[in-house]
Amino acid sequence: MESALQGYGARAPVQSGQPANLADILERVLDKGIVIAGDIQINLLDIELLTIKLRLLVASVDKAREMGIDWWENDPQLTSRAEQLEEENRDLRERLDRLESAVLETGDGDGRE
Amino acid sequence: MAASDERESGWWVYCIVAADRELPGHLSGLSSADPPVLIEEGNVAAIASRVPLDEFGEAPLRANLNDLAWLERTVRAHEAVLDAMLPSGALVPMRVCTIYSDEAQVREMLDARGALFDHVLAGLAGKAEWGMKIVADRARLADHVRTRSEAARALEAEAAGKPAGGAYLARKKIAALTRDESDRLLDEVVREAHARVNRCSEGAVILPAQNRELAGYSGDMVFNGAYLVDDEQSDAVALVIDELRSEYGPLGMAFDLTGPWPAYNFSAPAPPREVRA
Repeated sequence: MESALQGYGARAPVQSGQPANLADILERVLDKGIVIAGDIQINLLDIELLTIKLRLLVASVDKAREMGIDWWENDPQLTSRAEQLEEENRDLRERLDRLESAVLETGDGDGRE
Repeated sequence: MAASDERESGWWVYCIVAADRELPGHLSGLSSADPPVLIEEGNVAAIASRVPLDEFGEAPLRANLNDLAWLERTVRAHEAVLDAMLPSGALVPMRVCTIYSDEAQVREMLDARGALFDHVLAGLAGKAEWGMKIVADRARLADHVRTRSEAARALEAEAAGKPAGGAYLARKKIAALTRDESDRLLDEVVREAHARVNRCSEGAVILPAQNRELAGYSGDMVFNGAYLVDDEQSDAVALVIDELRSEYGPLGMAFDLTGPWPAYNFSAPAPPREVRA
């Protein structure tokens, strides 16, 4: 099976002339680095950059959130929220399983015990 | 610096460096017609180049920033200047589109913030940013979990001898078990990987997952982190990534290391965390 990163234009650890991934650059240059207002209209630029960021980056975070993976929204110690979600999911699944077995038992009389 | 150009151009600032730095000869910046120059003021200097305002003025920027091809060209040119400066010393990266109307404004900014830049440059000396991303192939991870779980195998055996309803329930249980186990394993591996790289670094930032199309990967990006690493530790980080690949690669986890980067995530606005006495 191919690696999940096959063809992923990774920037080599040692400068090899291979261009960096655009996503890697954008996530850095768009909202990282020192932000100082140049005297040419910074407020409007903030808005524009925000629009681009939403389009390029945030969509994937929503996907991740759907999967219950939102570690990066918390501190780097990666704690409570993910576990809490996991617990909620487990509770829901257990409840669903109980409901399904109840339906099956009354439905075809083929109970498990 | 022809006076006739003053109205039509602005100064794009790439980064701030110590005033005694020299520019490599091959820097082209955003436009090869106006290569970057050093604007020195006190202990620090801005690396900046003239940009035409019909492209970089407020109104054109509004349109251009939403043109991905223009944006890519621009951010790569910006990054190329920083990349060229990084090997020879610390720099404070500026966010893209930091533009001043004339040189005097750049000097004023340097003068006003000289002490802050000095402080940040000192903290970044001999360090660079590295990125680690983890992409999971969930199907492969689930396969791994299913074949290794005693409980799953027991349930498979149970399902084999059951009538339809019971077998259905057993399969549901196996699926739930696999899902739980996969999540737990994924969580464990991510924490472990982060902890190992973090041990080699002086600061860490967790970033949002990247857009799949833009970054060109398949699977789920389950982790994206940036680390501030002393140059003497960069081999250790590469070694950690190699270890992670051989330990967890077979589970369907791919580890991507990028760097060295300018310390975008460790430059502003608070000074970087100092862990050394």
